[in-house]
Amino acid sequence: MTISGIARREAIIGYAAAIGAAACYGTLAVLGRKIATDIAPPLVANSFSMILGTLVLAAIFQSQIRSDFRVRPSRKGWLFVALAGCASTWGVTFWFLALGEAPAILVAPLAAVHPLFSVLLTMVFLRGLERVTMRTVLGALLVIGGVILITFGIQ
Amino acid sequence: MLGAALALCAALGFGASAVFARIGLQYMRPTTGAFVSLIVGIAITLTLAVVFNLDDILTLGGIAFAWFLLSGTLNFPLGRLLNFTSVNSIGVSRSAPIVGASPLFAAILGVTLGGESMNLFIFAGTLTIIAGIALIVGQK
Repeated sequence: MTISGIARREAIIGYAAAIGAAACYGTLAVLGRKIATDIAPPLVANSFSMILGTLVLAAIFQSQIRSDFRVRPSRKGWLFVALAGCASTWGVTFWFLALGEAPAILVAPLAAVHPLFSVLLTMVFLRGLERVTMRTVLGALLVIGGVILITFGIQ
Repeated sequence: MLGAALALCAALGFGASAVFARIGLQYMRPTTGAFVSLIVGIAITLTLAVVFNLDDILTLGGIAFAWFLLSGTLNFPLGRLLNFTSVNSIGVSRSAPIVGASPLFAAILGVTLGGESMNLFIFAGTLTIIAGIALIVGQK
């Protein structure tokens, strides 16, 4: 396979994975509402979902995870994926705190701007790693606008 | 005002997570990255849950764990792993806006399976999201 063929394949996998992740999170929003209202408080539901999800992930991909642990990636790698976990948990915690202070009609559109934070942080901290184009920024703004419209439509 | 500030803090956390993952995933596979990030997340959320909701934890029934398994599988081995894979393959700036379009899928499910009705806001939002994703995916 040529270099451009490999790059094209990587891009297709990346876009398909992003759409798959969005579908999972979208389905989870519907499921999560049911769990948080009928089964357990959000914090408890999130903790136990995370534990069981991690066990499933470890069971399916144990050989890959073991081999990465054996190779011992650099400390920087461990540090930044751990920070990704902290930031994600920070996001979920503040999401619930916000819902405790304000109605979902205000919280959901504001929290929906997170892709804009990603793009801005990429421009500042990943300058050597990624190039952010005008087209990407415009696309992100359109997606955020669409999410805000849908939020109003649902509520 | 406080609610709005907290919601923006949540957005900052979600936004920063993808950027940190992008840096960390240069050194390991997305599966290992997702695993490590989840272990850290469990340590934090479980501590908070025990501190604030211990009584609720002690009274959890068996059916609750079946729901947690379903949501956990959908969110973490699937959602987070796919998210990390996309960040690793196409970068944060392209991946984050597409993953951020998840309410579109919630709306599609609500309309097709939940019996909710399609209205002008949902229709316009759907078209706007599709245009945004097309703009990102269409670039070379």
